[in-house]
Order: sequence, then C-alpha cells, then structure tokens
Amino acid sequence: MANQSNAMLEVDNLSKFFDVGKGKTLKAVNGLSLSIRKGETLGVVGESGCGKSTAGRTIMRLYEPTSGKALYNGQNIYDLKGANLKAFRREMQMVFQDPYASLNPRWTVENIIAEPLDIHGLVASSKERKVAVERLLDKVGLNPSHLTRYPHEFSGGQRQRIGIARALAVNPKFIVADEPISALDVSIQAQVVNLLQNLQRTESLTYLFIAHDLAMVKHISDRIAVMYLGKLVEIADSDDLYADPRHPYTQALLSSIPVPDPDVEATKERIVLRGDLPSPISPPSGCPFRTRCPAATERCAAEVPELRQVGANKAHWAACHYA
Amino acid sequence: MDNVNEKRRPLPDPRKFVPLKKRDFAQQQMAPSYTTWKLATMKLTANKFAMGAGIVLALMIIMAVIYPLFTPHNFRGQSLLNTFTAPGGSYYFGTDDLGRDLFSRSWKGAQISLTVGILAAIADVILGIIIGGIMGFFGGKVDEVLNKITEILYSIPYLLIVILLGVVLGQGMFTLIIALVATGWINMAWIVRGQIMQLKNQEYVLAAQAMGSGGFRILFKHLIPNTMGPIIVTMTLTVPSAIFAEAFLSFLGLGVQSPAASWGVMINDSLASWQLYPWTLLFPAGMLCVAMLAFNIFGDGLRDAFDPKTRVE
Repeated sequence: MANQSNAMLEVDNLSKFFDVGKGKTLKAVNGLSLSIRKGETLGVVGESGCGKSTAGRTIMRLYEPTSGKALYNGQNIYDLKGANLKAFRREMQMVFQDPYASLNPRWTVENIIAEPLDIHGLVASSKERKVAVERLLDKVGLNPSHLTRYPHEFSGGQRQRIGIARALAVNPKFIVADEPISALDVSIQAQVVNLLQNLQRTESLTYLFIAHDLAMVKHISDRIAVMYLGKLVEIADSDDLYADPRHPYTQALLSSIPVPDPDVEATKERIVLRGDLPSPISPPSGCPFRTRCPAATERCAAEVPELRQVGANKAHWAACHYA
Repeated sequence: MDNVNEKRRPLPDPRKFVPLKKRDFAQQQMAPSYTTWKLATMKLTANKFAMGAGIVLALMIIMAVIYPLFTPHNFRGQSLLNTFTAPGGSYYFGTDDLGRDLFSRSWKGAQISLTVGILAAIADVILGIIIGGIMGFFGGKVDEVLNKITEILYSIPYLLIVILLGVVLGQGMFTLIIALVATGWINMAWIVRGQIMQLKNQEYVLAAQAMGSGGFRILFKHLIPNTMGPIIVTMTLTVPSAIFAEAFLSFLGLGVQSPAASWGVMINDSLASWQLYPWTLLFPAGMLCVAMLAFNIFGDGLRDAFDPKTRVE
C-alpha cells in the first residue's frame, strides 16, 4: 500500500489505544495503514464505534498515537514541534460532525471564522480581517452581512457552512471531514456535499471523508476504506468496491443500502448481521469480524487475516482469508 | 401495527411535478443583530422585577456612601438624654438604648455589609475561576491533587476559621472577609471545574486545537467565557449569603464589634428592648431583608440576560 509515490498522506500502522481504567485498554484504532493521493477523496466508512473518528482525530494530531506513523508529504506528523507543528496546522484542517457543538455559541460568525487567522497572525488590521471573513462567507454560499451574527441564529446547514469557512480560512491543502453531513437533514446533506465537491475543485483540496452513509460516500469518494473494530477490512476504488465487495462485512453493509425502486427493494437479498459489535476493549481473537461473519471458520479464530490484494484491480485490498 | 392493510394512496403522475423556483436560502435576510452586551442590557431593562431590584440596590449603595449629608448625628455618638426616642424629628429611625441615631447606624451597617458581600464575592470569583479553571482544564493528576486540597479545606468548619482568624488578626470587617473567602472560593472553584470539564470536550475546543491554538488561549478565550452564566449566578448568590454571614457572625459577636455599626450588631443590641421599642429591631432587620431580596432578584435577572438562548420580548 505504502509504495504509491504521489501519496500526500501515508498512514503507517497507526494505533490509538485509550486507557479505560482497571488495566484495560480500548483499542480504538489498531494498526491502520492507508495512503491518500493528492487531490483525491478517500471515504472511510464503518458503524458507530469502529474507530473512524478516532482515526481522523489522530491523523489531525488532536490525539497522540499509541504507535505508528503518519507521513504528510514525507514528514512524520508526530515528530513535529513548535513552529513546524503550527505550519502543519495550516496545511491540514478539519470539518466537524456536529455543527451545533463545533461553533462557540458566544462568538460572532466573524470571530469564529477569523479564529485561525488570529492564531496564525494572517491578518494585520481589523479591516483586513473583516474582508477576509466576508470573502470566506461568500465562498461557502453565505451572505457576507451575516458576520455579526451568533451561531444559534443559523440552521444546521448554514452552521456547517460556517464550519467549512473556518476550515478554509488558512488555505489548507488537506481536509479531514468527520461525518460532516450526518447531523443534517437529508435535503441539506446534498447541498453540503456539493459545496465540498465544488471547493475541492476550486481550492484543489484533498479529503479524508469519514461517514456512515454509504450512498453519500460513494457519491463523493474516489476510493473507500471500510473499517471494523479499529481495523481496516477493505479498501478499493469506490466503483470497484460497490461492484465487487470482497469482505463479508462490506457485502453486508452494501446490502443494507436501500434502492430507490420498490420492485428491486422487494426482491433484494439483505445480509443481516447477527449480534452486536463486540467491545473494542476485548476484541475477538483472530479476525475481528468472525463473531458476526456468516462464513467464519476455525481458521478465522486462530489467525489474524492480513490485508492483501484481491480481485482484478490492483488497488483492491481486503483483510479476509476467504476474500 | 393496525394499519398495515390500509390502502396505499395512488401516486400522483410524476409528469405533473413542477420544480420549485430556485431560491437561495442562504441569502435570506434575518432580523437585526446585536452584540452580547447590548443584547444583555436590552433583556435586563425589559425585566421589570430585576430593574426594580437593581434600582433598590443602586439607591442603597449611594445612600450607604452619602447618608451623613442627611443627618446631623454621628453613628457612634451617644446621647443619654435621648435613649429610645421614637422615629421622628432629627432621628428619622429613632435611637437605641445609648441614644445613638439608628438612621446613621443603619446606613453605616449597609456600608459594612455591602463591602463585605461584594469584596468576598469578587475574591471568590477570582480565586475560583483560576483554580477551578486549572483543575478542569488540565484534569488528571493536577485535578486530583487540587481536589484533595480543596476537600480538606472544605472540611474545616468555617466558624472555626472565623474564630481562629479573629484571635490572630483581631475581630473586624477584614478578618470576616478573609474568613468568608477562605471557604467560599471552593464552591466557586468546583462549579467552574465542572463546567470546564463539560465544555472542554465540545467540538469547538477540538476545532481550536486543530487550528493550532495553545492551551491557555483555549482556556481563557473559549472555556471561561462560556462558564460566565453559572459564575454570575453563583456570584449573585455569594453576595447575599456573605451579607447574611456577616450579620449572623456580628450578631453572635464574632464579627464586627460594637460600637462599630452593622446590621447584625444592631439586631443583637435590640434584643433586650425590641418588645417595647420595636424600631430598634425593625430598621436593621428590614434593611437586611430588602438587601438580600434585591440581590437575589437582580442576580436572577442577570442570569437570564446573559443567556444567549432567551429572547427580548
């Protein structure tokens, strides 16, 4: 995986464990490796608690990793200090999940969007600051006259636009979008996704797009990574993944997408997974998915499946003995 | 699930659908906008009860300073020819057993009570925000150690602190303030700590971190301003409770000492005589009640005014 020469971000065997007391650890992200090329969108999907948000936050270095590396343009993110770390913060920004919690309720829109400008000292005067914020508001489709308002005066979609404007303030190259649409109404989701796609073109951005809505992820992503219990189980070009899912978990996920056609929906076969997601504090031995897998054998309990290339396409990898 | 067999409504002919005219919702105009302070002022002035209480408090503070202009009598001057004079003449509130003017004594008492209340509350807030903020924000070991220290301090009865400090520093107003703050800030610190622990996991704090903001910037720009609501509420409860504590301790003889005037001292002085000369009790006790009520109502109004979710009617 790690030999794609034009990779912008290369995550290598990244782990993040949380100490939950009584000598137990929660393995939120466990040996994650992936790479993202400049200009592409990598979608990360998985059910709640699979570690996808933790992975995003660790890549942003909001959390210090337990082990592993993440190379951004060849430079290990976790080695950065002081001025270099601050410079990295300008390169990589984040859009958050909850547009109600991600904006300080006591600040005006101008102060919220200008916060990164203030931190990095990018504006010299208050006039320049105002102009910069107006330009950003315009970029995300909000009225520049909104800058004296408070977050509670906006709808969820508008707030998410404010969050996007804030992320864009420092002209980043890479954006980690942590479920940016899951808290929004379906009608607003499409608007925000379209905005993100337009911005990707005009600002030449690279996205790590975390979500649990498979249909929306397919729409925006070039490649998709599927996570289960802190591990990557399958990664492929998005068309390839949808046409030919190899991992049984991916197959189950894809079968759950509703098709907007009642005739197809009536005859479609759904793979219903048994049981609940096992606790990441005491994950199953061998393959993490074996407790719910319809095709599990004794080998799955004994041997941890390695991520290996499957199928016709070189970029298609899955972590299953029988893929 | 009774209506499973309900007949499905026929779908309308899709060709009859007409797309809505394109409107840009983001460009819609909204109501005029105000800054936090202006909005808070507007909400406060709209609240009649709070404004009434505020006016009472303002008058009380002004009178506590300028009362000597209205009376020829000194608060400690005795006139044994005029003991227990009924209110009237130059003695607006009457006199006590030593012929001292109750009007000037009551206002001198207001001066002391308000000073104690306000200084104690301010000291509580400053200490509480700094220590509570550090406990909440840094958490872990720092929080554990500071928490144990505050718990030990909290377990010392404050009457003991008052008496011991009185022995060391001599009884009086400043000893009282120090004693009240010594235990009072802990409550404030715990409230700030709880608030900050709750707020620091909000996504806007993560966002500030992702932008490259330092810890102290997050603490002072994001977290503490967002705890101002509970801080103001606690502070406005601290002022009347400090006033009450001052009156109560002075009444017991542990605070301000006669001949200095204080509502508590005056109530104590009136104990032997109030059944015959009720004004000796009525004026200091009445003013104590009015001051506490006014502070409580005004505090409630302030809390509502600073809450960004309430609206101006």
